[in-house]
Amino acid sequence: MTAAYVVEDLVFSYGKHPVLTVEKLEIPPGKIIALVGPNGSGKTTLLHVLAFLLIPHQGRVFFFGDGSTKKNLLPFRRRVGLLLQNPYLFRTSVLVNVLSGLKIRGMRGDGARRLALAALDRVGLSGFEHRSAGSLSGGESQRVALARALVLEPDVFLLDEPSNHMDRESILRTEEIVRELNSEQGKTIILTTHNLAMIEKIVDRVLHLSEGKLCT
Amino acid sequence: MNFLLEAFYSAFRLIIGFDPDVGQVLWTSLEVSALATLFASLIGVPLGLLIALNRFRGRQVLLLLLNTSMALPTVVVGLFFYALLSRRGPLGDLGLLFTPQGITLGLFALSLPLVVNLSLAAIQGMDARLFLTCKLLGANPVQQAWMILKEARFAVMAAIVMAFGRVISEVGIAMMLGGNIKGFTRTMTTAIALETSKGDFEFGLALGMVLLTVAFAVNALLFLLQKENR
Repeated sequence: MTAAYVVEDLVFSYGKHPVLTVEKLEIPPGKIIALVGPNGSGKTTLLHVLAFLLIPHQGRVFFFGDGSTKKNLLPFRRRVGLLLQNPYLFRTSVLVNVLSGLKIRGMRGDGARRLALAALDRVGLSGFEHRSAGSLSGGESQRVALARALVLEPDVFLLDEPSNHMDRESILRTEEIVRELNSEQGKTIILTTHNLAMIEKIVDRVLHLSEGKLCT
Repeated sequence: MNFLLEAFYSAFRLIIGFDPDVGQVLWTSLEVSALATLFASLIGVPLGLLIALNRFRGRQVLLLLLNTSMALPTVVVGLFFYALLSRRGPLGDLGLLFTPQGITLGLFALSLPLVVNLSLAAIQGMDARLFLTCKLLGANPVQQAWMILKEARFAVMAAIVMAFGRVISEVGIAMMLGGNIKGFTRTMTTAIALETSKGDFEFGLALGMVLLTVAFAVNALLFLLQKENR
């Protein structure tokens, strides 16, 4: 089976200082992987590279067998869903936020609306669709961003500290969603977290990062 | 003090009595200012967006030039376009000198750097996560630009309102390119200058009050829009 990701000889630098070096990394499809490590160890940078938002200065990233280059990032980006640690919501309603990715892909109308409402329901925000995004709490914003990623049905989900700002109930729901995405739809999920209980419950494999390097 | 109060009273009567002369200069002012701001916005906002979102060689020099052009004295802009539009100038054949279109052209040149610079500043001041979010949602460069512009809409609108305020209140360009022809190119500011110099203080004051009311109305509209969408 083709690996979800194969990363080879990757170096990502800010200026001349390399912040992430990965000699070889292979992520099998349909697994839940946790990236752990101290703050500043390169977890978020690696997620952004895997989301094709950052272009490595050296090395290559293969996604389900296809190699990405500087010029063909968009189709790769559209197959990956990334939840930021502190997500940005557009200054509009919750529903429009969830619809935004669908609109980018040319999906509009009742069909798109139904998908968006279902995604909101899935994250426990049914009835929030007309609320202004600016009026939401941190945890609610996180869940709207999760719904915005879910509705796009990407092949891979990258979650950067998904339990950030969330209360216990929301964390449990998020864990349930991750488990469902993995077991029912076979999605590959890579998450960064400091939440050991979450790792214990749902993760198949843990990758340790320290000072920008993967520890084996 | 009495003189001032009487002037205010007369000015007020001219306004509420819908004095046709006041109406004429008000219309000319609004027409040339609105058109100039519209054209400046249609070109300036996308240009500001383009400069804000891209890094290219010569960008710093361009920013410096744009900043400098914001501080251009209106009379210098007027002089430059006078030279262009006068009979001996390269655009003399167009016959735009001493016409409302001529004033519009000068006001457009005055407001364009303002719209570009303020739009650029508005977009650069947006939350860095916005740019990242547009990308991670899979937006192509055009979609990204549109999404960013939508998010920055109120700051961009404020930039446009500021540009309108600048052009409607300037006098140098309107005087040099319009020639202050009654019923044709006379604007509020040129009329104020003329009437006051002729000693018709009430008429000048009435126009001044109208000018302030227009500025107030435009800003109030922007304020309400921003409040509505907060």
